[in-house]
Amino acid sequence: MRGPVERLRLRAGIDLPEPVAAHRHPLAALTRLHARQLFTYRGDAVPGSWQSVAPVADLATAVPSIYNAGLGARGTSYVIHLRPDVYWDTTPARRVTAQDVVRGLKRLCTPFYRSTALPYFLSTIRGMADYRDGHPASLRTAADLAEHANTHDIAGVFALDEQTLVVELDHPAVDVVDVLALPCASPAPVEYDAFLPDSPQARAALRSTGPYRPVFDGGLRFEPNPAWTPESDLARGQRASVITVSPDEPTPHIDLTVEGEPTSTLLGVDYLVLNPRGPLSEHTARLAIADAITRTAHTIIPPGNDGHQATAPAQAGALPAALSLTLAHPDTPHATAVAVGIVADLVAVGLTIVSRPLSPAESHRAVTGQAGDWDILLDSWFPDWGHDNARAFLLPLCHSAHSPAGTGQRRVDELIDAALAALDDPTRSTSALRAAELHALADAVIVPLAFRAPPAPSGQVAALSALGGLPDLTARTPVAAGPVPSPRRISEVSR
Amino acid sequence: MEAGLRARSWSEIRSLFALDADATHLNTGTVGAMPHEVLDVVDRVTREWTGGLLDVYPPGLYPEHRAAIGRSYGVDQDEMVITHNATEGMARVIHGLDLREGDEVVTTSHECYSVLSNLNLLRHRHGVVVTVVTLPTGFDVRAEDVVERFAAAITPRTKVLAFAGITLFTGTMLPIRALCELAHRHGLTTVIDGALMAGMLDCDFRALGADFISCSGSKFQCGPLGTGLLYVRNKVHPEHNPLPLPAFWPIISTWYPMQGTPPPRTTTSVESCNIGDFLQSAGSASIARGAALARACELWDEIGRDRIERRVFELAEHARTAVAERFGTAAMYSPGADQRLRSPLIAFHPFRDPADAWNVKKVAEFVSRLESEHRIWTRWTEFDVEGSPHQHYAARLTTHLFNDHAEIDRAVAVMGRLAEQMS
Repeated sequence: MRGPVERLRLRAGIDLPEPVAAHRHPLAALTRLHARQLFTYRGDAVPGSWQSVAPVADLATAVPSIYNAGLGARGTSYVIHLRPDVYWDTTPARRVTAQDVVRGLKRLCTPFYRSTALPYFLSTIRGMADYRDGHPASLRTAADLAEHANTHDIAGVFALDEQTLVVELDHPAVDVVDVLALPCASPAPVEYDAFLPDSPQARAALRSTGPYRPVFDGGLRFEPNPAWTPESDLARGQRASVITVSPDEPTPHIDLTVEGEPTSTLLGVDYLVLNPRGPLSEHTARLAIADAITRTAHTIIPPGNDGHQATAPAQAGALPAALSLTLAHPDTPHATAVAVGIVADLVAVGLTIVSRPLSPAESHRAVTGQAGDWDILLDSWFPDWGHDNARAFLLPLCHSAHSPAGTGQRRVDELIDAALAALDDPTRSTSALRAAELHALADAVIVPLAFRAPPAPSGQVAALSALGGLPDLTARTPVAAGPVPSPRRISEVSR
Repeated sequence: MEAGLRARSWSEIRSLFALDADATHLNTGTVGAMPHEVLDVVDRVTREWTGGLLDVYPPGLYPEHRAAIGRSYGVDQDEMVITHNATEGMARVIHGLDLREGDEVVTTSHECYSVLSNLNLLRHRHGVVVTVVTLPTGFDVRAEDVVERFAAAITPRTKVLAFAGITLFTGTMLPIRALCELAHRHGLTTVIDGALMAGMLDCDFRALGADFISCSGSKFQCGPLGTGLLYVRNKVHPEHNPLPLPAFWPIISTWYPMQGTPPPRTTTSVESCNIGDFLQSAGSASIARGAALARACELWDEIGRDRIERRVFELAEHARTAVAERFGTAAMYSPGADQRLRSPLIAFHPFRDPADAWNVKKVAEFVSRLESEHRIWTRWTEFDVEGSPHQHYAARLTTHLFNDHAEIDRAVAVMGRLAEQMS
């Protein structure tokens, strides 16, 4: 899509999530239309340039730094000032406050929905894990949840006043601004207290801070948000008078249901999780599976991302006879095609494989460790930010507290924890993460298959490399045709 | 006139300074006030050297100025450098040290940003390990508490102790000689950020026992902005520092030898080279600012550095007592019980609610309203506190020779009323 259009037609599903559930959601690109975060990225930056992965202020007036007194010298206390000109599309329009940001972060900890991005927050922000764990099991209703939120605090997140927020960290973390730029860290208005997070009721009552607001009228369309002004938003624009969304759109400008030519310059990884709690509990069996599958990737962190190491030693294993396994995979064209190849490889070595496609919701439950009824899980993981991002792979995939398998090696956990405690020293943290990766690979619970760039929708649209290749339907200017070479090294095996 | 300055009253000396009569300047910790005469030197020398008809390079080495200033601090011309500011001096020292991967530097989280920034650069560039100690804070802190923190952080890989002579955030005068002796016992190089020392303390740099001391020329010394002093130990006086001279690379230098190497560093009290010249020679210099800084130092000698130090600290004790009476010793981040740690910088929490200590907006507003509503200039500072997860913010006042008791009393009274109003 080039230049402004009167009516932008999208082919996509219409089950728009609440922002708290936007991470890895197929419609996360639509969330960017109506939800702003403290920080974000520019969709109009040259792909591959440093500007494309550098966070910029969004709801905030500036990226906090020691220079602007937004960051203490110890590196664990951030003072974030909010713009005074960002409003909810309420009647009358109401200013977005620091308390709304606090509410959004509390909502992210809800026991009723488990975000795939949660590991970043829990391991970084002081008291967030305690807050998440402090929800009593007796909570049942939205009122219960709101009552809990209104009487308990995240120790390291507090509002000084309506326009000023303090975020304190357990350890210095140079990537915390990127973490707070994730769409799931959007503020939540007080109206959301009436709904359980990402419930149908919440989805039907979404409020907007972005350039558009969703309108549900049997279908889904986005109309300009009257409470939004271009002067208040340095990253997003309104390029269409209305945006219509339908899974059956016959002539879409942009089709979010197909995977077009990648435009993001940061690679992710297709990987398998071999469930150590079932027939693959034997280490040697997992090694044999890893050995039997045709793979082009042998590390979890792809080239071009911080912490990538060129090679990892392979180990041989042995398969027990007559094993019958379930292979779960997202029900997408790409995952289905990859699954077909895996089945072929494993059948060839004498295994019986049942392939089970997963809906997005089922896939989310499996990846977040909430469903373990599979022996092999196929998924993809793309980097959530573009610099100092080794932990963006290893923490969610390999740490036992967060991994899809729900288990892991103690040594891997120790190394990742040591890295998180030293994020202000990339030499030490990257070294620890590389060691963790080697241990994880040797354990063969996580088996990398191939590196690939995040898929882009058909139709020309900017990709936000730093948000896992999220398409940016709000980019202010048309992107250049075709990506320019990245300053980061990209291996040929990744394509 | 010159001989008379030592005998002049403080109110007469106050008249030497370009101060706004309606303003109360309690922020020398950030920048001092120039004497009129120093201002005149900047102007006169700038005019003298404008036109490009003179050879600008020889005077840029400031041989006479450095010798005179050196004498004031008990050191020689080859050990004294006129720099652009304390930050430049610290950066040239930190990056001139012969540190390698795995070597450790012990410093504190209460250092100036420019020190921590340069150490972080060293960490990334060479793999040097930077161990950061959080200094104790509060009225009752003792010098031994500080030395213990440093001693506990030293390992067999430690090569350098880097610390502020007086911390800018809490105004803690570190036990400099004790820390240098600790360094001597472990064979460590000592790098002191002395930004607040010059012009405040009547001290013998050599006797402190440090290897490097980088000072500001525009804070307590009241020279022009963009001036500083750097002491580089260039000879061995065992009674002060028995260690050999550290390997040191005078980065940014015109006259470091272009062929061959300088002589080996001396092991005696006689220098083997003029390390000061190596550092001082860095292209064309701001001759006017150097001359003005030298004049400010002369004025200090004429008034009497011992007399100035006594005055500054007597005013500080007056202010400390007033602050303690008004806000309580529990509100004070600056040491008070241990006289060795006191400085003329006094940091305190002005509000009733202790939680306001991590409310930067409220503390900043307090300082801002002192300026806008009462024409009292202080500043707010930020630092970490042992055992607290929060970044703390404090109001800080600084006394200098041009202040007087009445304005300090008035300022503390105003602060008390404003804090009450804002609490």
